Amino acid sequence: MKRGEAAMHHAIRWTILALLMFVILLASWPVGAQARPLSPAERRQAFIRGARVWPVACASCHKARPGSEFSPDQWKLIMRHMQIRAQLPARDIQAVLIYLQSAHQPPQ
Amino acid sequence: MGRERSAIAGLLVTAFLLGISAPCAFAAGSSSADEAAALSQIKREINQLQVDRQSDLKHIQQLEHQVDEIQGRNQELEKINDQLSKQQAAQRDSQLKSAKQIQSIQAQVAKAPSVVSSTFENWFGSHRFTVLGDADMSYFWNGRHTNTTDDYNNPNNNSFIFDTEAIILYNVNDKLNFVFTPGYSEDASNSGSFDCAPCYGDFLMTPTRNLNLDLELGRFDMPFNDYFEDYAVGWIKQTVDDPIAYAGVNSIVPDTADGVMLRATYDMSQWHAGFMDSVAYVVNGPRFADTSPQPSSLPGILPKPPVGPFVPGAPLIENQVDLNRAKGYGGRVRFYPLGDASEYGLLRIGASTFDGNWDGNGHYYLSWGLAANYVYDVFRIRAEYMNGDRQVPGPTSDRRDGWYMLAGYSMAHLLPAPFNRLELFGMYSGADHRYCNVNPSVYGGPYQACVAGGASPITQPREYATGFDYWITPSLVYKLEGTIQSSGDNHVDPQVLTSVAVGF
Repeated sequence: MKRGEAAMHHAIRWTILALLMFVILLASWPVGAQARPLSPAERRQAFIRGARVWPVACASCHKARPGSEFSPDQWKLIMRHMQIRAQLPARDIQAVLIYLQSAHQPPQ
Repeated sequence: MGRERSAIAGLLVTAFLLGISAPCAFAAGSSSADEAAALSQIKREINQLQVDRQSDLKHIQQLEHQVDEIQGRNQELEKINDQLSKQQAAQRDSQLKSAKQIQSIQAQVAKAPSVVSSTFENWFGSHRFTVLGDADMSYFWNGRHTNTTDDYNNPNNNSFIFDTEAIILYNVNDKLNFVFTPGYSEDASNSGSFDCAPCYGDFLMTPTRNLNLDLELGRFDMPFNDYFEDYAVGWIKQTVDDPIAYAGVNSIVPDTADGVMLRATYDMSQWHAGFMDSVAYVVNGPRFADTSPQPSSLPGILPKPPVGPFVPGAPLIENQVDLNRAKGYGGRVRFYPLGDASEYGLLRIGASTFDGNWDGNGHYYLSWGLAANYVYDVFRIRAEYMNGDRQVPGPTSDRRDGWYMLAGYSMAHLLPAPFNRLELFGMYSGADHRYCNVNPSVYGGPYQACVAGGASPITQPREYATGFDYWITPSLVYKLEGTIQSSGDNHVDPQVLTSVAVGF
């Protein structure tokens, strides 16, 4: 019985190690990690999408705060934080970020 | 000068002609009238020549003046030329310097960064830091006529409660982020407490375009249903107090937990199916207020606690006292069937679980929950249900469940300013604790013979609440709420609660 328990602990340790390596591999995977800068047309599209998502996705938990409330750099941090908290898709986060930052930097 | 000479030559020719023509005329015997006419003609020509001479002299003077002017301009141009050549020389020097600098920079750039330095630059090159936060001050008036404790552990009839927290975001780079939320809160039990919840580091990964993963380590809000993560903060929740299902003694899971969590968001918009998010975590095991760890002779190692006695209905606590024993495991999955930008609003439904060995002796706590949230324009409604079953030794059981439903309606479209900032809400919340000792000869299992209700006065609390929020700005709100709370001790307690909350 003790031999069985030891084998199980051994298996658990290796499983945890394998999971850790899998996560590290995922983390270093280049796809999508290097965000491509958007073209002006893509930024305009993202702005429009952000304007649609912002009042709904944000207001599902709290009142949607206007873009003028924080600086563009602060919004970058806050949206990074909200990407984790609200678990929104990356494209929504990017679109809402562009929309909120446009309060300071109108799209071309 | 040429014209002057030609005039003098003209005069000499005329005199010569006169000298020849006079004897000839005399000899020819011409008349005096002809001579006079000839002389007169000669005089006119002489006068004309004089006029021409004067004109020529004037022209010569003008030309000489022009020459003088041109010479002056030439001198000025020479000066300007000198200046320009000096400037050009200076420019050439500066261009040479710039070219040298560019060559130097190009040489530096051409040196490829080492793997180590580029890794460090990528990982530690874009630090960002900001501080946000929130605060709220609430006043509770409780009309209860007994001095028993309620779900706020509040034996008083009225009290002020103050909560504040800072949210410190430290963004090392686009992948690595730290969140610290130091906070202070107090209640009517004459105590205040400092805390840091949530406080964690997270590592964001994007393995594919549609999948985001986030690995979170530290102390985080419990991702069980939606309340603790999404609505519990003062400036976010519509109500002044927490729903009774999530308040202290009734809670099915602790509000925070220490451990590691993997969060995933999968974008399914390519199939017109919105997106889904999920969470899986390992934390310190579930513990109850009656689970007391025993001292150990070896530092850091706790022996198995003695089995029982347990206190039926003991509240669940966050496990920061009984570490390195049994772990708790949990998960949550949520769907957005209407997508994230639908004209029909946002609908989210989710299911959660949190389980673990609660006493280190093989007795498990199993809990699960369901949550739904719908927002459409000025209308919102959400509902949550959760159930927990604590396996206890002997022929006994300790089961609990809780629920709440909240609806809110903003007056933005109905009333003119400034009343359009009003939002009305209503909430119904409840919790049940079912625990009993049963006759071993009767029951077919430890939980089958348990009946609802019990001896404790807090077994079946219910709360009916209604009120309004006045949103001065999207992050500054005044709230006024009236509630009726009933408990298992047949008391009905009216309460008035008011609060000012701000997010900053």
